[in-house]
Amino acid sequence: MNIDIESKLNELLKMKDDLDELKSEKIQNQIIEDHDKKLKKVKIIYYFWLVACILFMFAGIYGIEHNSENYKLLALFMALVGFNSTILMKLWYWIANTKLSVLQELKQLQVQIAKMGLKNGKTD
Amino acid sequence: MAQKQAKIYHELLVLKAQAGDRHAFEVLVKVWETSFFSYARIYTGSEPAAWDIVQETWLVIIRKLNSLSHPARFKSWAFRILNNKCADYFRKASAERKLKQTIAENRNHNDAKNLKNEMLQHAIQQLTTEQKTLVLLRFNQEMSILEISKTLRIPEGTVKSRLHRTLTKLKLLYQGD
Repeated sequence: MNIDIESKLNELLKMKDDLDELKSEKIQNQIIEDHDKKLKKVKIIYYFWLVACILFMFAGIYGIEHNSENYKLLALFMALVGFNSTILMKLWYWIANTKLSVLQELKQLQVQIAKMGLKNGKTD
Repeated sequence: MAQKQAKIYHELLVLKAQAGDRHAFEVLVKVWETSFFSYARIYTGSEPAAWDIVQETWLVIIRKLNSLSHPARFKSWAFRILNNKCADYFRKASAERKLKQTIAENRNHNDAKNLKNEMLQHAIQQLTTEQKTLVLLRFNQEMSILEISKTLRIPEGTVKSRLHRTLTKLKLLYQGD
């Protein structure tokens, strides 16, 4: 019952639109600009927190040297939290990047294998 | 095999874009732009609206790309976003006004095309947003039933039955025009 309408839909909807090149380029540039902005924002947030953690750590170290006995333990805790936070941030960054680069290597390998298959005339 | 190679290459582009590679992201935009635009244009029936929707979709993709756990799911994930944006477009304005505008624009747009295509486009615009989504994913994006089920997060059987009902309705609308 639906065969007729299916072939008509195939015929009509498979026609790809001819993009207005000027408009397309403008939109593409805007999208890339937004992407760059996002990357910049992430970088700024990362460095902001890194500096904040380092300052926190130094405030703790300063507190250990200049505070009375009662507050030394608190200052030591502050310094340790600051120090560990910087380590955790770097560790997270390293893990995320390593995971992505390993996956990228795997994909490169898959592309190479697919290319070799194509050269050897394999269809699947 | 060439298709498989292209698929792997697209996945590689997604991974590189996730790692912050600007060039890879640029290529990714170029690769998907036509498909996104074509889908949005038929869905909304309006070219300016389609461009806005494509841009909004990319904004969401930029924001959430790093949360995509597997690059192979990029297509269904991106089309889910695109589809939501298209549905939002219809929700925002009064549906009736949009439909009238859409039909009028379609008529203008298709002056040179044959009448049958115009009638079919008119019939497509009369479908509900859910039905339109199914038809476009199946016939415009040439997705399999499995891919549609992943994109819309509904079981394959439901996709099949809904698609069947939609095509029956579309046929009636088309014949009635």
